[in-house]
Amino acid sequence: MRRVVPIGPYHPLQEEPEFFKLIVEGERVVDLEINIGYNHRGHEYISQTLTYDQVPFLVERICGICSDSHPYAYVLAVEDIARIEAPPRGQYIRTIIGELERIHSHYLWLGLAGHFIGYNTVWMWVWRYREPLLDLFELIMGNRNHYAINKVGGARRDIPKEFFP
Amino acid sequence: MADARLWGLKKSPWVFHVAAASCNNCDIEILDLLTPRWDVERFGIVLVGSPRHADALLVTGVLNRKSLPRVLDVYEQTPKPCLVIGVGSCTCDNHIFASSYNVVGPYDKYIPVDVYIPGCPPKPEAMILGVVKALKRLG
Amino acid sequence: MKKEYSEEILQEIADKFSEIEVKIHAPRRLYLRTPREKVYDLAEFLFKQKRFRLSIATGIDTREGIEILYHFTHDESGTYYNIKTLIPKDDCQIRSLAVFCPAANWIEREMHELLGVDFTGHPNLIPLLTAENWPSDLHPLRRDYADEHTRLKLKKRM
Repeated sequence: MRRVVPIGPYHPLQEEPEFFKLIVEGERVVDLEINIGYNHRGHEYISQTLTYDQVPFLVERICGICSDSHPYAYVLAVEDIARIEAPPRGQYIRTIIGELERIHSHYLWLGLAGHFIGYNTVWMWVWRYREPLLDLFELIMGNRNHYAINKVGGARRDIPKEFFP
Repeated sequence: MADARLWGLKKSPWVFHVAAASCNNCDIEILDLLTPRWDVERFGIVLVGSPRHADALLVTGVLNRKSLPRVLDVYEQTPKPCLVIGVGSCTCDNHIFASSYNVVGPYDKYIPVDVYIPGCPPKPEAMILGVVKALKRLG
Repeated sequence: MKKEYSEEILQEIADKFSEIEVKIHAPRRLYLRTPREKVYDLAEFLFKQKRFRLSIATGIDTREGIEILYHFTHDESGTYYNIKTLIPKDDCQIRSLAVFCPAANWIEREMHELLGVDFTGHPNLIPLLTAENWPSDLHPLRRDYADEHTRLKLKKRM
């Protein structure tokens, strides 16, 4: 016998709203309907009204967890179109921030995976180790997330000498 | 203390977290509040899984056409009186998404919001301050 | 990093499909300008015989018509082969690739609602992102959506 198990849009397990309709036979899931669009904000439309230099701040807000990867990709695409090459120091700074964000991202998923299976100890410990990274971001860019470091043709902020040990 | 129900809200509020079309950053910072650095659970603030158990709603992100009816549903299921705390600049004024076709206005057009916490995302200290201010308003 | 596009695949494409215009943009990105009728066959050839992967599809509203790009990736060499086609606005339809390539399903639904392209043969062409009461003849990424008249129409209907 087929039954329907709805999950979402606001479910305690999910951070963001999505709607899954599981169609189950006994304990087997036989079909799945997905309904998304609760997060649709029309980035494409807004970016039509902005200049090339303003769009990095918009694409940064596609996702708050990986907020370096989207502007980085965008900036590389614009540089490819305009045939600009960023200066080496700018490329280094971008790469440093990208790598720091990668470490931060790994901590994040590991913690959330622990949280979702109900093993909150993992979550607490892992996110404790994530905090120093966020402090580092705040030191360099003034914000814990949404770094705003990418700019067409380089980086927006320098990492001064005093910051290096 | 005019109302005993408001007094009941003041001690250890349980919050339910509603993410309308948000970019997840404020949501992650809210979860961050529960981890050892900030640890709001020592004040009795707990994230709960159902709006029916909640004393306060933490709303994040802009409202869009598809999430608006769902957010109103969640608000209706919350036992009144409840606090509504808007986290992030998006809840105040739609932030960078104001010109989009799918975004329908700030929150106070639809539900009463007690405290706004601006910032993209607000720092955890600011969020704690916002919740404290919301509780102080109760008297 | 060494690998670039392969001449053999290009030669095979040129043998099979004569009307395709190849533009080499970068060592790892080529554009294949294809007439609308040939997109399905070319994509099927790349996807089924050459084991290409559909990375994403994009569309934009230009003066000449609606331009659709299917970005296919060749994983062995790490190159992009972009099938580029132009659809006139008064006859806005193209054969759907979702029949043989499940990855095209959602992105074609999205293009259908945001750009107003009809994908014939698509298994499930219902709106993906916009709200339930969004009028089905308003396409926000069309250039004419931005004018005041269309927005007023939307305000009246929603």
